[in-house]
Formats: sequence, structure tokens, C-alpha cells
Amino acid sequence: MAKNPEYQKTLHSLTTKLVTCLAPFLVGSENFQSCMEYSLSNIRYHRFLDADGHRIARQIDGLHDKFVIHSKPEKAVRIKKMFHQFQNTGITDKIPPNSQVHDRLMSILLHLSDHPINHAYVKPKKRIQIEHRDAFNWGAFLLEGEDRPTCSSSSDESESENAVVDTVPRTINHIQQTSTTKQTVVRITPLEDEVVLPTVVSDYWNFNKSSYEVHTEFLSMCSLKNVKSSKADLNQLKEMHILREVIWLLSGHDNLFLFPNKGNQYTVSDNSYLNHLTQNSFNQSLLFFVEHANFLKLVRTFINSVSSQVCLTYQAFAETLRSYIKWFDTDLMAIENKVKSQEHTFLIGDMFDSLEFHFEVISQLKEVYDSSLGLDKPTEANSVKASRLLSTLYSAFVTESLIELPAQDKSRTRLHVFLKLWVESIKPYLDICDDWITSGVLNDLHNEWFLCRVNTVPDCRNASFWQNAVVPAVDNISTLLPWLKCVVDIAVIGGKSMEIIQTLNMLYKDDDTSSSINLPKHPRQKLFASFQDNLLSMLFNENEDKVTETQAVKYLTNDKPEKEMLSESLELLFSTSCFTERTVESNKFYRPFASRSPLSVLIERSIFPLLEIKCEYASSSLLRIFRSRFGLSTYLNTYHNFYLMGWGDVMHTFSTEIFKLLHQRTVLNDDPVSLNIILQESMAIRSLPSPGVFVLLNMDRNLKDGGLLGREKKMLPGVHQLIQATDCIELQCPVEWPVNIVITEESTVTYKKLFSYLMRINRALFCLEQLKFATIYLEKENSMEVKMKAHRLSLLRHKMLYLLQQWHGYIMTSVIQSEKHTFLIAMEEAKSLDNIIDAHNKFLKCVCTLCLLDEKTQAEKLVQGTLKKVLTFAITFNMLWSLGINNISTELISKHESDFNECSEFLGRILKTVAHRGSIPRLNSLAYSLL
Amino acid sequence: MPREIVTLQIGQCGNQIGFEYWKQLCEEHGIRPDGILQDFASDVTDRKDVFFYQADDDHYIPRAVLVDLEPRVVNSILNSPYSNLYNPENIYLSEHGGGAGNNWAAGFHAGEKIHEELFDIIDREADGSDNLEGFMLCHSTAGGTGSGLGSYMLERLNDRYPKKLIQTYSVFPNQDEVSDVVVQPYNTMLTLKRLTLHADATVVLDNTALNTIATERLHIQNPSFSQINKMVSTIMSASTATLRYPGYMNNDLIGLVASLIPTPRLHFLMTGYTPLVTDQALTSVRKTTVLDVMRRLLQPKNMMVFTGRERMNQHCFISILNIIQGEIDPTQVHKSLQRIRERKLAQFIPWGPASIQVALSRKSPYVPSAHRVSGLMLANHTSISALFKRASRQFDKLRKREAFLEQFRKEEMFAENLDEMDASREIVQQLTDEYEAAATPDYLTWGEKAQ
Repeated sequence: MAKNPEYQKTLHSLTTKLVTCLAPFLVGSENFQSCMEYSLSNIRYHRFLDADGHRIARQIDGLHDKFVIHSKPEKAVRIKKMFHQFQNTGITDKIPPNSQVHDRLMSILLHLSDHPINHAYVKPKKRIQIEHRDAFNWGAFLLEGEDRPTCSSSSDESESENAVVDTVPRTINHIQQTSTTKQTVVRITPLEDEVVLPTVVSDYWNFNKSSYEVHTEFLSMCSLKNVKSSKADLNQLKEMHILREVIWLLSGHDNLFLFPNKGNQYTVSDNSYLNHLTQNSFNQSLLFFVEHANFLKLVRTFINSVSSQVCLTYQAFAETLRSYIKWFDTDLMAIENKVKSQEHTFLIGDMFDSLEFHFEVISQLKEVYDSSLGLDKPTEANSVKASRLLSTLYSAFVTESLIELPAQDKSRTRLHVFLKLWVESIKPYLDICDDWITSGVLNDLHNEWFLCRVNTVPDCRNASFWQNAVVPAVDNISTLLPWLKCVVDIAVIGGKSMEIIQTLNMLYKDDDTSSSINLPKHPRQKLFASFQDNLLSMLFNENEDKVTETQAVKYLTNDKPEKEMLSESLELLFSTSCFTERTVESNKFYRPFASRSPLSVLIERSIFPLLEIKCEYASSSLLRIFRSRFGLSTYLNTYHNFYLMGWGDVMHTFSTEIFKLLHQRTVLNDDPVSLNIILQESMAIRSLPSPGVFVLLNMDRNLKDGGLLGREKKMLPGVHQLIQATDCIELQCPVEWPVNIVITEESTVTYKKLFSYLMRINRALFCLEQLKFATIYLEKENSMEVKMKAHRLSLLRHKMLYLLQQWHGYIMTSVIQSEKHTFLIAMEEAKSLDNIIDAHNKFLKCVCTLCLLDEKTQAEKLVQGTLKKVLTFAITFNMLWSLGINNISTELISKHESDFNECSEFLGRILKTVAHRGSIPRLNSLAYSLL
Repeated sequence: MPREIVTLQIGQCGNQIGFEYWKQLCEEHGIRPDGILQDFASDVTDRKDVFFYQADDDHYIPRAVLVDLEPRVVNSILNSPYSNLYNPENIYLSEHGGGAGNNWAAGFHAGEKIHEELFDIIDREADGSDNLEGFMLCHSTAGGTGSGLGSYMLERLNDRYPKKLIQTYSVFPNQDEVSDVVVQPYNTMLTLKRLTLHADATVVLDNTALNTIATERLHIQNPSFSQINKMVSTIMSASTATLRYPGYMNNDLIGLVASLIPTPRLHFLMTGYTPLVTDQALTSVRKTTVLDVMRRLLQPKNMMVFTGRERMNQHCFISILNIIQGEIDPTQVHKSLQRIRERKLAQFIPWGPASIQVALSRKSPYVPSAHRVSGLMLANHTSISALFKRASRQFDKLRKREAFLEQFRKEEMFAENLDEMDASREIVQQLTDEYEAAATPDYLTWGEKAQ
């Protein structure tokens, strides 16, 4: 660096300045030149520049020892501390901590302190005896006649120490002046300094706090000083002023001298200075306070503005913030008292130190505030606001927890604060959830929850309740509220289940009879409380895995001793008293987190089992109610037995009777009574109580379906020959709420569709099975031609019957029975109504897909079209057969044969194609059996 | 409206297998030998009313008509614990009690004499049912009563109830050993004609195969009739399982047999059964699957008709119906069918598509069984012609020498000539031909060729 010309130039000019400043020689004179040389040589080669670090350390140690010897342990500690602090901070970006530059600067400072140069410096005439609180001056009494050494001489102290000793008496002087002008009660003479000081100071502070009028007094005092001041536009202040102003600032008072409040924002008045601090440093430090004070003011405004109108999350957040602010205020008050008492020296720097933790918290809070509350728009829903706040808080403490700090105490305490803020703020969320899951009431007055009930489905008796009732109120819950990601689904199911139970008025009623889950009813621990317990025990217990289990158990049994173990940390961390009792220095109340798992995992782990248990309870209760009280399985069985012809015998008898009617060319008229009689008679086969199934003739459906059997056409002769003739027969099996949650309107439609389909196939089968060989094999007839015709007819019948039997067998065995098998297993395993609904829908969907009834693809349409042709064939074939062998020409048989063969082959081929596509492997056996 | 089935058991053999059959049904439905429902029989989903009806005191009575020309077997039934099960009015015993003397013609003519009394009983049973589906006839083809009277009843039933189904369980004689009935070939031939012409479906129970199975598969040295009959009754009860335990499919007799029978004459059905164990205590080696059952059912050794070794080469299945009972996973069915098709375990007719039909049925909850799954196969197989050929061969041997015809000539039918014999032979020949033709691809135009 010494070779650097730039540096040389600067050095030269600076040295010139220095010499001009100090020596009365003209620039360029000989004396001046020699002064320059002397200075430069001193600067270049003086020992300041190669200060010995060890020596300086020794000197500091010496100072420390000196203080100790002089019974000033605080000073001893402080000088040591400050030295280390200085050593460990980089001076600029380029200069790292513990560098040579540090040593040099220290060495300058130490030298300076050895050679005081400030002429304005006035040594205090009397030493302040702070220890004296009572009227009697013990110090004076004891030290009477003693010649006391002045240990606080500036030569021994560093820069700031100088300032303290310098400031305090002066401040006191001002105070005295103010006090005397204002308060006539206390009369003070300068001689009684040590007696009066404590009283006056405290009176001053107290008075100021109670009324701001004094402030104007203070202002006038300042202005008075202003006049006296040598620098016209600047107020020279003392640290005491500043401390007081800062404390008031931080406690949220307006109308401050030093910090004028402009437009609800504090600023720093630029007409003040401290004579021992540069203006820059002074302003910097004040700005720092102002910045935080501004935010604190914002927070205070927020807390005060929160009323019952705002959503509960905000209320809870504000409440927690309030407790934090209370803590902050308490700490502030402690500082205030300390400053007031003047037992110890207390400086702005100490203010920084003692409030450092709070400032960190506050600045982080500010970040949180800016990205949550700060973004609120009046148009936004509460749910959006609440979720944003929670999400920001969450990410704040998760990020906090991810920071690895070796000296973790402070940072972890910060983490504690944010964790607490978050935990308290989610209370309304959890409470709403808890209410919903345990009592079925979704009590979300402010619409702040992440789920919301759709207004169009106000009552859970509505059929679409289960599907449509609850929608997320917040977009992308999983990213915003990651800790809810795993519980949203089960919570929705559990809540809906409980709501239904509640509507059924069966809450806790059936528990007495069958309680597979031993959830204690009274007292039911609130979800939030148990969540807190869980989280804490996980945080502070080493083996959190075990805790998860025991927690669940504990939660169930309300185990007292277990709880007490946790109570300590609980009270310490999560009660407001913990905040207030915490003193500035002590972190000892806070136990570090024992758990090594990431916090987000812990939260998930502590909330999930609780919700799971509650939801499981709700779901399983509802399931039990469904199964026992409402006979869900019975309903499903009825549907299977009738629509899907599970009661083969009954439905066979029923359909056969109808087919006979059709066969006798009776048009099924509008009279469903006769059909109902048939159905009832068929059901009488089974000596079981008849389920409420009845027949309905639905003519409209045919109109809709293409009008093949429209109303105007239905009276036409030959309608009974159409395969659609049975479509108008509709089974009705009304299901009531709440069973219609499972057997929905749509699924009933599917069931009806399947029923019609099966009826058609059964009808075709009936038409073929009915055929008697005796009709075409005439005993008398011996003509070879007739025999031939009969033979061919029989074989055609066999082939058709075979095809239909295969198809029927496939549908019944490989589709319906197989899928039912799967469905029943799923029913058994179902844990919630949702599982059952899913399984049921899946069952119906699978059946339709496997029967190729979806008719979505070309192939499926072709299959159904061809099948319909085959079914129609069966009916016409039946009529052909009954014409009598002599009336059937060989050509007609040939035509039928070729037509049918075509259909059959085509069906086989297309099924094979479908099967080869792989989506329906079980179609394979059917396809090959047709080829 | 149940679709009732009336069982006719004619002759010594018919009554014996009938007796076993009812015993089995009673066990399966939890009915005590006196017809009263067991206390434990709480399952109401089975259909007892197809084969039973209830008397005023609610006890169950089989829809059975017991006919014999000699009292021995019927008396033994009446002396058994099941004596009170049957309706005494439904038991017809010939007054003279002499039996038909193993003579078909005697049995046939006895029928002519007693048919009014018999039809009194049958009509009463038919009228007593809501919706009679058909008749089940149990008889043998070898003796006199079962074959002769049975044949007569077949003819008459067909006339009287043309719309009702007639299914017979016909026991064919053991042709491996020398029979005590020398005229057995005649009897069989004459019965076969009626079975061909008048029955809608005939379940062939071949004593030859039954004996082989008993000795070779069940390791019974000298199988007794009761052991054989036990097997028969198992088959009978299994083949009616879908009627008694209704499920999704095959809930009537016609649906069961209609697709098995392509033309009126080709209605002789073979049966196969697995597992063939009389001793229920025998532990199974592993879990039986649907595929196992179907595979075993296709093995000739499990067939109840002895058709010689030629079967697999020239002959083929016309149709197969597998009735599978027990705890079945329905999803396994199509997989098994696919596997059987891939392995070509069964050979089917060349003139049209064919494969196995599967009917799933429940098992009786009251009869303990060591097996999870059991299966019965009802198959229409062209190799059954071997049975007819064998019968024809034996008939021809006797007929050529006109041996043992004295007894027949005594009866009216054969007094003048033996045309009836030859006519029967002709019909059976046609039947054999048709079965053999059915194994060829040009069966569709079979009639034309004959032309």
C-alpha cells in the first residue's frame, strides 16, 4: 500500500492539513517543512502502524485488572467485552475481523486516552454516589476526610466511557434546572447533588410519563439551550435525553422532540447532535430505532384495531402479538427503570444490546407483516387473508428453524416467538376444524377457514351434499398451508361425516352400545390443546417417534402425569408470563429443542395423528350408523339383487312372466299394477320381507332414446317384437337420505341402464330357450328336406343361444359377480363413507366399461350395435320357429344363417380387437369363445 | 312362482339313487329325515320349494313319485329313518309285487296297466305346483322296471305334458363284467330309443365308469351299490345346485340344458365331478382354484361315462357347462377359461364356436366339506356314441342269435314280430351316426349327406 501513488498523495495532503491545523507556520516555510517531515516520518514509521496485538491485548487486560482492583467489575467486564466485540467486527468490507488495522486503531485509542487533548473537557467536580438511595449520605459519611482517588479519570477509559462520565452530570444539571423551574416542591442546591439526584430523576421521569405538558417544558428548555448553544441550528443533546426519547419512541408515544411524527411515521429530527458521536453515527443509530418504532407503531395500531369484526385468525394473531408487545414493553420498562435509577451507566449502545433480540424479532415480524397483512385488500375474502398470514408465519419460522446457528440460544428464542405466534394464530383454524369434526357444526362466522361451505347446499340432507358441500376457500392449499396438506382430505371427510351425524341427531348416541373406538366423551380434549401438547413433547423429547404413539394414547386417556412433565416447558414458552418474566440477559428459561427432525415434519407429525383419530372416529361412527341404522348394505344388496339380477330366481320369474306377455303379443300398456303384481309374486318365492321395490312404466324414456317405441307407436302391432319393448320397465327402489349419499341419482340411472340391458339379453335368451324341438321336428314328416331345414334351424338356434349364453355368462360372472366381489372387499375395508362412495362408483363404472356399455369408442358402439342386432335376431328367430317348419323356406334359413354368422363373427373379431388393446383383458376369453 | 320339478324314481335302481338323492338334498337344506327343518337351518336364501313342498304342519315333503313293481327297495326306504319323509300317497307298488323280471317288455306293459294310477299321482303333483317346470326321471336301462316302465312313462309324459321338460338320470349297465341280467342289451336298446325320442335331456350315468372311478380313483376294492349311488346322488344334487341355490344365472332347468343341446337327439349328457372323494376327511393338498377344478373336470378319468381311449382323437365337445360350487373368486373364472383355451385342454366342435359355460353356485352351509371348491361338468360330447356303439354291439350279438327272446315274445308288443327291437336299433344307430357326424365340420349339412 505504501507504494501506491494515490495513497502517497492523499497521505501528503492530509499531513499538510494536520500540520496547518496544529502549527502556526506558513505553508512552505522551513518550520513547516520540518514539521511535515516529522509528521510523515512519524506516520510512516511510528509504532501505531505496526501495533503489536499482544501488547494491546495486554494493555486491555491491564485495564480490566485495574477496574477489578478498583471494585468496578461492570466496567472491567465491559471493557473486555467491547474489546472483543471490536476485534470481531470488520471495519469495512475489505478489512476482516482481527486484522492489523484493528490493532492499530486500538493503539491510537489507547494513546489518545493517555494524552487527553480536549480542552473543553471538564472534570466532574464531585463524584456521583449512585449507591445512595436514602437520605443519609453514607458515602459522604464514610469517606469524610478521605482523599479519594479518581479512578474514573479519562486516561483509563475508552471513548465511550469518557462520554458517560461526561454526560451524566450534565444531564443531571439540565434536569435540575427543569425540575427547579417546574417543581417548587423540591428545592435543590448544587451542594446537595448526591442527595437529591435520585429523587429528582425519578420524579422527572414519572412526571413526564403522566403528562406530556412537561414535554413542552423540555422543548423550551432545549430551545433555551439552543440560544446558549454555540452552534445556532443544532441542539446538543445528552445520551440521557436520547435514551428517554428512544424509550418513549419505542413504547409508542407520539409528539416527541427528537422524533417528530410526520404522517404517522416517525422521523429523526436533524437538528440535534451528541458531542461525543459523529452526526452520521448518531443519525444511523436513531434511524435504526425509528425504523423499528415505526413498525411497532403499526403493530400497535393493528392490535388496537382488531375487533370482533375481524376474522378470528387475525384476532388470535393480534392477541399473541399483544402478549409479545407486552413482553417487549416490560423489557422496555425494565430498561427505563434501570436508566432512571442510574445505578449503572447505560448508553445507547447498551440499548442496542439489551433490545437486540427484540429488534431482530421485530424486523422479522415486519417482513411477515409486509408479506401478509400488508398485502390485504379490502375485497379479499377473510379466508385468503387468514391463509396468507398463516402461510407467511409458517414459512417464517420454518426458515428460522433451518438456519443453523452454533450459538443457538437467541435464534432459537426467536424461533420460539414465531412458533408461538403461529401456533396461537392457527388456533381458530383448529378450533373450527375441531368443532366441525367433533360436533358437526362448521362454525366459521368470518369465512376465514380454508374450506367453505357452498351456499347452494345449505343442508346436508341435500343429495349433492357429500360431493359439493365443501370447497376449498383458498387456492392451492397445499402450497400455502403445507402443514395442512396431509390433513385436508381426511378433515373434509371427517367433518362431513360428523355433520351428517349431527343432522341425524345421533351424536354420541350410539357410542354406548358399540364403542370400538374408546374416545372419551367428557372431557373431550380440544384439538388445539392436544396439538400443542403433541408439538411440545415432540420438540423437547429426544425420541419423538415414541412420543407420537404415546401422545395418541395420552390424548385418548388424558393421562395426567404425562402432562405434568410437559407443563414446565408449556408454561415457560407458551404462557404470556413467560414472555414477561424473561429478563434481558437470561435465556435459561428456554430449553433448546431436542428434536432433530425438521420443524415442518414435527408439525405434520403432531397434527396428523390427532386429526386422523378424530376423523376416523367421525367416519367410522357414520359408517356404523350407515351400516346399522340405515342398512346401507341392505340397500346395496337390494340394488344388486334387483337391478343386477342378483336374485336370479326372482328376477327370472319376473322377467319370464313379462316375456310371456310380450310373447303373447300383449303390448305392455300403461298399467303398471299388473307388472307390480308380477313382481310381488316373484318376490314371494323368497320368504323374506319384501324390499320396497316396485315397477314403473316409463314411456318417456323411449321417446328420449330415439323414439323407437314412442307413445304414438306403442299401440302399433309388432311393437312387442322389438328388443326395446322391455326398456319401458323401470324398477324403482327409493332410497332416502342419508343413503342416497352413496346411492346417488346418477348411480340409480346407471343401475336402471344396466337393468334394461340385462332385460334385453334375458329376453333374447328366453326367446331361444323357449323353442321346442317338437315344433319343427314333425314325427309324421319324413321328407329329407324338412328334416334338413329342422336340423339347420336347430343348429342356428344352438349357435345363437351359445352366443347369448356366453355373453350373458360373461356379464354375470366375469363382470358383475367379479366386480361385486371386489366391491364387497372394498366395502369391508372402507374406513369412511368416501371409500364406500368411491368403491361404489368404481363398481358401476367398471361394470359399464366391462360390458362395453359406455359406447364412447367406435368399437364399443359397433359391439353394442351388433349385439342389438343379435338380440333382435333372437326375437325374430323365435317367430320364425313358431311359423312351422313347412312355412319356412330354405332360403330364409340360409339368410338367417348367413346374417347371424356375419354378426357373430364380426362380434368375435371386434371383441378380439378390443381385448388385444389390453384395457379389458378379461374380454379375451369371451372374444375367443365367439370365434 | 317357483319352477317346480317332480322327480319320478322308477325301478330298483331308480329308487335307490333317488333315495340317496333325497337324503343328500335333506342334508344340504337342513331338513331332518322326518321332513322337519333343523333348528340350525336358518338360511332362507336357498330354494327348497323347487324339490319340496310343505305340508300343513310345515314339514317338507319331496316332490317325488316312487314307483316299483316289486316292494323290496321301496320297503327298505320305508324302513329307513326317511320313511316319513315321502308322501305315502306318492309311493306306488305293484299289487302283485312280482316285478318286471328284468324284462323290458314286462315293465312296459305293466305301465299300460297301471298308468292311470300313476298319472293320478303325477297329475296331483303337477297340479299341486304353481309353475311346474318339468320332470326328473331316475331309472336304469338294464333292468325291467326302470327301463320298461320308465320307457313307458317317458312316452306318456311326453304326450301328456308336451310343454314340460323331461330330464332323465339314466344308469347304464356295467359292460365290463358279466351281467346277471342276460337280456340287458335288449332292455338298454329299447330304453335308448325312448330316451332318444322322448326325453329332453338325459344325464348318462355309466356304471362302467362309476365302477372304474370307485376302484381306481377312490381305491375301493369292491364298490358297493351304496357307494356308487352316493356318487350318483352327488352328481344329481350338484347338477340341480343352481336351481336350489339361486344366483345370478341358470335359475331354471331349461336355461341349464337348453344351450347344451344343439339338436333334439343329441341330448345325452356326460358328467364329470371333482373332487371325487367319498371320504370327506381326506385333506386336500392345497387351495383348490377355479382353474384346478375346471382342468380336472376335463380329464377323462373324472368322467362318469366310459368311452374308451379313442375319445380325444376323433371326438369333441359340443358344449360344456361347469357348475362350480363353493367359495369361488369370480374374477378367476375368465382367467381360467383363457388358460384352458390357451392350453387347448378341451377340443370343441369344428362347425361352430364353442367353449365352456360356467355357472357359479353356492354350497350348502350345512354339509361340511374338506374342499373349498367343487365342480360338476355337464357336457355334451360326441364320444358318448361309444356307449351307444357298445350297447349296439352287445345287442347285435344277442339279436343275431335271437337269444333270450322268449320272455319278450310273451308280451304283446313282441308277440308277432321283433320290429320294435329293430326299430330301436335303427334309432340308436341314427343317434350314433349323428353324434359321430357332430364331430365333423360338415355337420351343418349333415342331413344332406344322408340324402
